[in-house]
Amino acid sequence: MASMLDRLLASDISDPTDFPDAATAPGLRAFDDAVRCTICREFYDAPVTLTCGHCFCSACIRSALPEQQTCPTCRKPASEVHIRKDVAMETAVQAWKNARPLILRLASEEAARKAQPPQPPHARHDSSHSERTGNKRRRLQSPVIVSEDEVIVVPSSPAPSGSSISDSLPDTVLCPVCQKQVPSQKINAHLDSNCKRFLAEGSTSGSGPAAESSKSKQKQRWNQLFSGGGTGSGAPPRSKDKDKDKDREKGKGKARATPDTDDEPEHLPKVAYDIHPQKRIAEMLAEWDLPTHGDKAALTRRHKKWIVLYNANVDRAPVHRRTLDQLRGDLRKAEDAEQKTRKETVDDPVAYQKANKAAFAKLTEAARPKKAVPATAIPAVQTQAEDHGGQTTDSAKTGASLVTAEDVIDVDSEGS
Amino acid sequence: MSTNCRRRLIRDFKRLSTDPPGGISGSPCPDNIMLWNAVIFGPADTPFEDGTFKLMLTFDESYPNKPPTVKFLSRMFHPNVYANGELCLDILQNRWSPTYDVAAILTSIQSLLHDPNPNSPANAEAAQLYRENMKEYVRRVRATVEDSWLDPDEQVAMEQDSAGQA
Repeated sequence: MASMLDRLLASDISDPTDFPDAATAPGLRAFDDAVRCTICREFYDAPVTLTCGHCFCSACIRSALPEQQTCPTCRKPASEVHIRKDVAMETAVQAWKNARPLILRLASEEAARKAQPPQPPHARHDSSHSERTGNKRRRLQSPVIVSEDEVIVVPSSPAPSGSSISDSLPDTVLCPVCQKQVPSQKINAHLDSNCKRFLAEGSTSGSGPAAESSKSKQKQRWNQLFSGGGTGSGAPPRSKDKDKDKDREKGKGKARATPDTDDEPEHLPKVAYDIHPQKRIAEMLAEWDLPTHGDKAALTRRHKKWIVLYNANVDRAPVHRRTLDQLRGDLRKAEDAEQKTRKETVDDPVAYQKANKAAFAKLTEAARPKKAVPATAIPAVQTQAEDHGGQTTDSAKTGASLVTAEDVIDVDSEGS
Repeated sequence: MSTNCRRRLIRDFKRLSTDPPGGISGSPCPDNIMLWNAVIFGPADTPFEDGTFKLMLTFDESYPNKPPTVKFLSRMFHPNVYANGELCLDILQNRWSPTYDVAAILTSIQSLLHDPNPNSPANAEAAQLYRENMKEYVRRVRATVEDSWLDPDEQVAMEQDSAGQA
């Protein structure tokens, strides 16, 4: 019985909760949630926005608006004419879909690593600068390979000029602007002073003709960067035509009426079904090769659904658009699903509760409010959660309460 | 088989299991994902405190475009709950939004226990006592809280007892 529910939880339906909690993987759950439609909770499919800025799948909002002419999130008045495609979101969703499996794997590895008991603090190579900012700077500068419990600092090839980081100055960094050695903790102040102050003592690489040449090289590089590639080995020069194409592409989403967008399929208009006889609605369906069986109500429902599916398809980027045949298949599936539905009714609440006594007992335990736990009382929470391990509806719940306890610890330790 | 509605309900369940709001729980029936059981603990510092109220939610394929039917299985004494357990709650009727999920519904019902709306009474007696005789209102609510701890059989016996006395 419970295994059936466990199988539901383990089912292959992706969800933000696939990621570890915010303490282990900050922002990942929130990000996965942010690229999902708040109506269907799938990744945005043909994302569109309303005037209030809230984003939905085109099909979701087109199905919701006839029920209520407001934004489902903020309840500001809304109607179908306000719907605009969100091309940037569509791109982001596509990229996230590609990146997600890898990120998920890395995040679970991280979670597993964190779950292991903390290892004794390993001896650092350079105990002199244990200050946090100092370490961060060093890490930025040279890639660090972590294997098991030893830290190997791999010196990076010093970019971009030839000056090297001398090992006698472990606490200095190369200023990216003036190419001189600067104490790592002072780098911000150094930059603020236009590279005049806080030069590291004994920094030799910053003076003499070598530095001068590296400075001019640096300047050249920046110039190249800002001139968009220029003559450098970077991005190839873009042709003007290409730029034009891009501009036109951008314009499409905004101004549909411009003459150069005539290859873009049009949205289907709404139909006032009440004024049409059944025969006319059947004709409208036949125009799209759709089934024409059923009474007027069924025909109307089918045609409405078709308009939603069709218009949502128009809101997809051309590469993601479905063919008319696929859309017809989608319509058939939606109709099949609707037919299956019969709301169950329970006539005898007492008998029903009796039959589901075990389920309700579990739910009651799961819902039982945990007393507010101050950070000091965390061991108690953990034992409590473990005690319930055998009884709670699902192991995920037990995990969740443990995780919350960990949250508290983390937040506290960071604050102090 | 997994339609939009069913996929959405599975996600609702994942969310409710991973990140449960305090004092509520819910899960679909093992053999039917369109039928859910739920338990709401009476909110602290209200007459409903410590009550374990059982509910049932029934969905159809129009979810989440249309709200589910929600019904208390436990006997309730509340201005906005009908004698048959059905609720008078705006978000389950004209203020429904397809962005709501099971967690949101149950949380709203929990706060309805805290904050009845006596202006749209479903139980006239409860609404009147809530406005005019808080002491008696609390006494009647406490009786349902104690009921909620009992087995369904015992509840029936209690109800018959009280009917016999009246």
